[in-house]
Amino acid sequence: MGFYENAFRLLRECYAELNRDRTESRFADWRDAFDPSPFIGVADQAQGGPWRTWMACFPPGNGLPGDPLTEHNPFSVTAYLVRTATLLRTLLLSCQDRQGSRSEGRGGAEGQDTSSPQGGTGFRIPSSETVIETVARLLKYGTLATMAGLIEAVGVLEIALGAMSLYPENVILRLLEAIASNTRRQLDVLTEKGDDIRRLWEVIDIVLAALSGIVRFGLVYDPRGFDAIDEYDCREWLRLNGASERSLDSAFVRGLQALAFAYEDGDFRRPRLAAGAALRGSLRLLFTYRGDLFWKMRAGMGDVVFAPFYEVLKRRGVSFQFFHRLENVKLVDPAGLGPTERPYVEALEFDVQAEVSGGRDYQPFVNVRGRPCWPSRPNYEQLVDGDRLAREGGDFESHWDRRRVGTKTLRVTEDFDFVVLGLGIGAIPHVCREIVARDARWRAMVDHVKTVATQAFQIWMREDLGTLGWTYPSSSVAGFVRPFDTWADMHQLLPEESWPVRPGALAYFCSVLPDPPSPPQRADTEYPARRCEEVRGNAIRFLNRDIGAMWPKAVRWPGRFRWELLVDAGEQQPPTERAQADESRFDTQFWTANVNPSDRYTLALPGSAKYRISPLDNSYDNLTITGDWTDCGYNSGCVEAAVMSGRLAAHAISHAPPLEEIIGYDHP
Amino acid sequence: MNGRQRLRREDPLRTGPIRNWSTLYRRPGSWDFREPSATPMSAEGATQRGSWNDAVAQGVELGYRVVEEQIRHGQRVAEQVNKQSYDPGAIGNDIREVAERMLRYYADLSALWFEFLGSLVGNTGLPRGSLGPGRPTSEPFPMGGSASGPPAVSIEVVASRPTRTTLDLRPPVDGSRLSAQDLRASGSGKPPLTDVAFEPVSDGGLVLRIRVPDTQPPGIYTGAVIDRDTGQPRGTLSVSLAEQPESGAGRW
Repeated sequence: MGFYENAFRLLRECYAELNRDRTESRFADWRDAFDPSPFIGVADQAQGGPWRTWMACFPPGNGLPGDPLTEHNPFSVTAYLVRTATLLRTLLLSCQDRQGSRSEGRGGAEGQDTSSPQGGTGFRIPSSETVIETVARLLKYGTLATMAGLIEAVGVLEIALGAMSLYPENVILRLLEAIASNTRRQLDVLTEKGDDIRRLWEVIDIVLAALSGIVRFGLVYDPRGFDAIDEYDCREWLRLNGASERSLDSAFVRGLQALAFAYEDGDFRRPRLAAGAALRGSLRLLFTYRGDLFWKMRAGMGDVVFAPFYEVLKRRGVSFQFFHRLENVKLVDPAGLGPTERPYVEALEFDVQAEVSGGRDYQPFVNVRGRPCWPSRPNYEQLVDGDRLAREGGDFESHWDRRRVGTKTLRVTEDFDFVVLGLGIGAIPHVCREIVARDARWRAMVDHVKTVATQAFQIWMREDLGTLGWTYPSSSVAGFVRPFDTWADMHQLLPEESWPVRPGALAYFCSVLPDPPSPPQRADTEYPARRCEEVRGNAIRFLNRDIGAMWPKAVRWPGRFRWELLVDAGEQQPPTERAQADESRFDTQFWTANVNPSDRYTLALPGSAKYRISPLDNSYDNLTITGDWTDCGYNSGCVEAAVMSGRLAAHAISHAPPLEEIIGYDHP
Repeated sequence: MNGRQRLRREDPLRTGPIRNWSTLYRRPGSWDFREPSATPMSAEGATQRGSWNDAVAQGVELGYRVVEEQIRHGQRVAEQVNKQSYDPGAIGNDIREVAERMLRYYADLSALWFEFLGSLVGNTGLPRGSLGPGRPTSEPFPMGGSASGPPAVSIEVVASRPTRTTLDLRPPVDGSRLSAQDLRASGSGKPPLTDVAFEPVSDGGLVLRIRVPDTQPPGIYTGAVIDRDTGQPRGTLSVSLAEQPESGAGRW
């Protein structure tokens, strides 16, 4: 995302240090590896009608993500309020344009041109009394019942929010509530005027509720910032602040929830997202991106992110040991601690899954078109007994794969001084059993900071999306049919892949994957395969039944996907007869069930943030944690949170970087 | 365990983010990028970005920057007081200097702020007094400009009417890295003064060159002087343009 300041800064520093030769590498600079992507859509289905996509193009923001900031902390609630009010007014103006009611709406109660408070007719920084008078006038003459009156009112609001300390909060709230009640009255009428207007008004309704809530809950002055409302679910909080049920069920809200995988236990009937985290994320997303809203990688994440990091760290002398599975973080016996000594990690116990032939360093990359790439399976030829391991076809990254050829124990002062524990939180109960057993805070953390499994599939097609009936630019779309409510056009990856004949389209689909009633046992080694098969079935059903709403020419008839569209990498000749292609052809594509404890997505459930533990926490003298599940300032599951957390962990053990350099850590 | 002593982590200064009101004591419009123009759902409703918004944001931004820098300076002095000897002669001047600067900048900030409010409210017919106290403008230095502290700065203004230029630099200043931001007026709709630059001269000093277009509306144009490399504020620059144009170009 364009607001991932820490992530982009780190990546840019990595590419700069790597200093790849441009004549030899297509990804010499970070800009070579990322494509800006300004389009995002939400899928919407009018009552009983067909699905439609509501596409938005976000204009470029100045600069690029990761550019140096000129200030220590560019974030403030007031700045967000003003920008939100500006957004609100622009949305209203947009509605006015669409209604064609500019002329009929002109002329407030006093005959002023109030169509645009920024339009050059005179700007106001009114006193408190003037705001009160203006509100009274707008209400008295019923001006708020007109679009122009609403726009004028929001203009006043925008100014008042920008200088909140000059006005009593109740004045601003009164104005907000007057605007909101009249807006909602219009919303009911306008829904008959077409989907575009209805969608705009739904967004306006949500924005109004958020503004009201920020003022009503005193978030501008609350020392907890947006954390003050983290006990609320975001829909509940918006409802408390006046959002209508229609807006809460809108494509806009569903889209935001889908992007955040915000379904507890993967149950679509239980959308839950902490209000504070949602508000912070939305404001960062909308108002602090630089360059473009989205940035799409031009190759796999392993290739454009992890491979460069690996290369730089290797150059710096870091030692990597592959095929080791952490089994236990062993604490020192508390009986042996001095009176003022904090507990610490005494040993790390591993299973060794495989050994590298000749004791050499494992070389993790494969070469794809001259570029080092992270493969989807181990380079078995480098491993002792590699042929056998390849034939077994297991998965060393699976929680349920218990194979090992030995064990290894690392001991404090002999093998390590400090431990940075960078696992997913789902793995913590399994590898930090001693800590969880002894420490109530850690128990509360693993109980309350929940995760969700996800499912995804990717398909390569012969024809491009335009030919298949997709009429929009390359984009990402959220809020579509479940279970695959989010998809993205990823055609930009195709030139980087090894195809004898390049496919016409590549699309990624993803969503949550509902959890079983009780968690699977570790002895249930077939569990991952069962869930994968479930995803396969979901994907086939989805392509047959639902994808036609997005790509009408990708289906032969309703309920039947054109399976011959799928490209089989191992095929010499494409199928020429329809009879050759059925849904078994899906087996040539990619799908996955992300059910490993460490692969699960971290949720920001209401009331859960207080159970997170910070990487700065020093309860254990030589242990710090890192990951997007920690209390890292931006408590949402994403790359930016992971990088912020990593930088906090670095600070915890070395006091570098300074906390002030972790962008957005000190944020309302 | 071998005989080597186990390393221990130092206690962190804090274990959580600062989310409280102190973050308000920052530049509200300081994010260094153009505001996304808030048209996510339609290009049709696009509007002009508000010049008033920019002007207010710039003014407040400037004020926050200056005050913040003064607070940091004050903290440094306080640290010196704690660390060094209590020689009143050695410390007193510094504290007095900071105190005077603090007063001056707070006064300037309030003047700037109320000038914004005053000029913007002019259209409404509200009495200026209703906005609170404050001087109409800040003019701490005599006509013709002033440079304080090293390096030596001469000022050249090319304009077709009388101007008053105020330059205030605060040490430490590396003259080779000074950069002036566009100077903005408090009123709405006035274009900024963009032709403003520091240039080195042969004697090791600096010349500040300001070119004022003939069409520039009268008013007080203010901007920050920053360190080009670090982005840190190093002072302020203000140019007052007279209402009535006169013939001939002024050059200092």
